[in-house]
Amino acid sequence: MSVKGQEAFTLWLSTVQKTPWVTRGVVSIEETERLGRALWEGMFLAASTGCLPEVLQKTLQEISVMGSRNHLTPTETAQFVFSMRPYIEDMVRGQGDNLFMTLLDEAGLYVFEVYLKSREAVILNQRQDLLELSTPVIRLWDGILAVPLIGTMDSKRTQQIMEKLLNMIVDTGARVTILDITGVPTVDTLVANHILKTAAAVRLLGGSLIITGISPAIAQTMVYMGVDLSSVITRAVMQDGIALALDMLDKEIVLKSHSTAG
Amino acid sequence: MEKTSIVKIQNVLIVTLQGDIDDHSAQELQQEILQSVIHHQVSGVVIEVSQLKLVDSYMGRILSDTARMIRLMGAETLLVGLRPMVAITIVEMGLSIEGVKTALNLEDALEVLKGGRAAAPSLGRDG
Repeated sequence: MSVKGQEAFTLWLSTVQKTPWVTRGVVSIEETERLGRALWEGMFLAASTGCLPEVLQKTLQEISVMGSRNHLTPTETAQFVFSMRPYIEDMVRGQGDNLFMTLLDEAGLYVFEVYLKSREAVILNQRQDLLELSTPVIRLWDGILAVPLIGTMDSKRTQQIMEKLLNMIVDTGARVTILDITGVPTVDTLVANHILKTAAAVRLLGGSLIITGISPAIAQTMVYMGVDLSSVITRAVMQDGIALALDMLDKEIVLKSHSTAG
Repeated sequence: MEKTSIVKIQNVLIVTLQGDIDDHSAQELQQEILQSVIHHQVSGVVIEVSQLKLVDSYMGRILSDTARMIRLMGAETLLVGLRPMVAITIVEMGLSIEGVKTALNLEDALEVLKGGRAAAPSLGRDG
C-alpha cells in the first residue's frame, strides 16, 4: 500500500470507528482494522480484475452476517462498505474512478443481498422449528394416540401432521386417535376439509379418529358453512374423547377402592 | 400368480399382495379370490397390502369391487396394512375405496372377524 493509500485508509478507519459498528460494540477496534484492510485491499484487487473476486466476497459475507447477527439495520451494515467512498474517491481521482465506484456499489448491494439471505435463513429455521414444536403426537394410553392441534392449519402443516400421525399409528398399532382442535382459533371450509382428509387416511389404515375441542363458536360456523362432519366422530372436550376411546377399546378407569372391594 | 399368496386359516382367507400389481393381474387376482372364497367356504377375507407401494384409481376400484362381490357371497372383507404414504395419496387424490373395512394388522383383523370387536367404520357413503 502506498503512503497516500495508507493515509486514506487510516482516515477511513477512524470514520468506521464512529459508526454503530464500533460504538455499539459489534466489533472491536482490532477487528475493524482487520476487516477494513481486507475490504480495502479486496476493492483494489477488484479494480484490477473488473469484478468482485472471491476473497472480497468472503469478506463482504462476513460483514453482512456479522451485521445481521448483531441486529444492525441493513443501512448500518452496508455503511461499512459505503463509508469508503469519499476516501477512495480522493485516491483514484482521474484514474478509473468510474469503474471503482461501480464496483463499490456492487459490493454494497452484495452486502445487502447476503444480509437479507441470512435473515431469511433464520426465518426459515424458525418456521421449521415451530412446525415441529406445534405438532406433537402423544401416546395417551395403550392403543390411544392424542394430537393437540395449536395454531392455524394450512395445507403444508396438515400434510405434516397427517404423515407424522399415520406413521405413529403404524409404529404403535394404536387403534384410536384423538384430534383435539381446542387450540385452533378458526375453522373454515379448508381446515374442515383437511380434518376430513386426515380422518379418511386414518380409517384407511384401520384406525378410528375422534375429534374433540369443538367450541360452540366452531360448531356454529361449521353448521352455517354447511360442512358435513357427520362421517367423523366428534366430542365437545378432550375428556369425553378419552372416555369414548377407552370405551372403544373395551377399557375403563376404575376407582382403586372399587377394584379392591370387588 | 406369483405375486400373491392366498392362505386359508380356520375359516378366514388371508390374501397377501407381494408387490405392485398391474391392471391385468389385478383382475386375475379378483377372480382367484372369489374362486377361493367358494372353494374354501370361508366367512372372512383379509387382504394384506403392506408390500404395496402404489395404489391407483384402478386398483382402488378393484379392491372395493372385490369387497362388494365377497359380501354378496356372504363373507366379510378387511383391508390390512396400508402404508401411510399410500393412504395419504388415496385421500389426496380423492379416491374412495368404498365398502371396505380396515384393520391395523393381521392380528387385529382376525380379532374383528372372530367378532371380538367392531372394525373401524367402513369407508365411503355406502358403508
